Amino acid sequence: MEAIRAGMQACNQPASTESLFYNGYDLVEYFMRDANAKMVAYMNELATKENLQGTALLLDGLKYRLKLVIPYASTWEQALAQKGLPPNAKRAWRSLLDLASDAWFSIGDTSTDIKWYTKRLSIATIYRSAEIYMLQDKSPDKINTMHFLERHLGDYEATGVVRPSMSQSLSDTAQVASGLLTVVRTMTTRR
Amino acid sequence: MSRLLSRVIIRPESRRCLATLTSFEKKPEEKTRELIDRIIRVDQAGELAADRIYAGQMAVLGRTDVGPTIQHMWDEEKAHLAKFNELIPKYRARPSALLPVWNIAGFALGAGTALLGKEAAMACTVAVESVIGEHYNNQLRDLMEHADQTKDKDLIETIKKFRDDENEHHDTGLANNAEQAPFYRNLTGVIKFGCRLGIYLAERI
Repeated sequence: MEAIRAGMQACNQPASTESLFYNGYDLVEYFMRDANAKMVAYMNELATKENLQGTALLLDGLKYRLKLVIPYASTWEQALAQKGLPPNAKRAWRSLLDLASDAWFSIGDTSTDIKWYTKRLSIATIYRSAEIYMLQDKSPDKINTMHFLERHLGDYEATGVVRPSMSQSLSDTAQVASGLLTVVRTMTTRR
Repeated sequence: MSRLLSRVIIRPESRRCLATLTSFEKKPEEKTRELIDRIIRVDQAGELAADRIYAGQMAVLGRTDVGPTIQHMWDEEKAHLAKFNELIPKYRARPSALLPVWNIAGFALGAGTALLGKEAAMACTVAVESVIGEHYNNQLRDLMEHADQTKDKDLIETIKKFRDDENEHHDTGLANNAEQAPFYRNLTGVIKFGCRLGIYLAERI
């Protein structure tokens, strides 16, 4: 909410415009939608210019989407905490599913049965866990998060492929779990 | 309680199927989008169910003299299903989450009525097709009112054609002695109720 106020002051709007915003989550929601739109534009561009297909395109698109969030990584855990709150949860869920839907749509997915649901849920979980992983990531340029994405999309795509080593998946789980813990802590300590 | 429920589900022709169509808070484009999403979802689920019903009937009655008739109707339903499967990615509609349920229920209904005899299978066809015809007419009314006539012309023409096909199936069923089925009125009553319940659920889930 302070961010919205600061933004309004920067644009020289009177203080009463604050009432246009429902609560601080509106900023996060706008950011999500904007980032989703950028991701779709990026994926369409890639598909036409460089002829990427299927999983490679999906991976690239998700990486791009994640990179859009990285500049805000320090405050993103507050955003995630806000998403957990009941008044915002429905919109947060909706924008996450939109992300998954947009991603599959840009690839040209044409499933018309229960696979429609499984595909979107799997992408949504992978993306969200990548974001949580990123909260704890201290590598330069968040390169570890990108590898995390690759590993899990690879898992999902071809289940016959060699599974990542046990220690790797254990450390992945540990990192996601600690990321989740910081989010929960933020949710409970802030107002 | 059940009377309230049946009043909701039986839905007289004058009632519209989408509550938000009458709300003034949503933009017209949003309403149209939601309407089309709902229409395609329920129609795809319906055509899948119809496909499975005929499959069930063919499984039991395939070798009798009504076999070719049922086969002909089944082929038309398969074409309908293919058309809706094409429309789903085109309009980015969400398919019904209960598709496996419709799959199993349709086959069970088809096979079950066929086991009761040829006339009962025809009675099932009559019941289902009459509900579907009424349902497509409701959708056409909503589309005429809320959808863009030029952009969505394909959808409107498709539903019109399918409604005419379903009415033809209805008449075929009647012509094949559907009314001589045992407990005709009760049987068709129960099947119609089940269809309307299915439509209600598929629109939402």
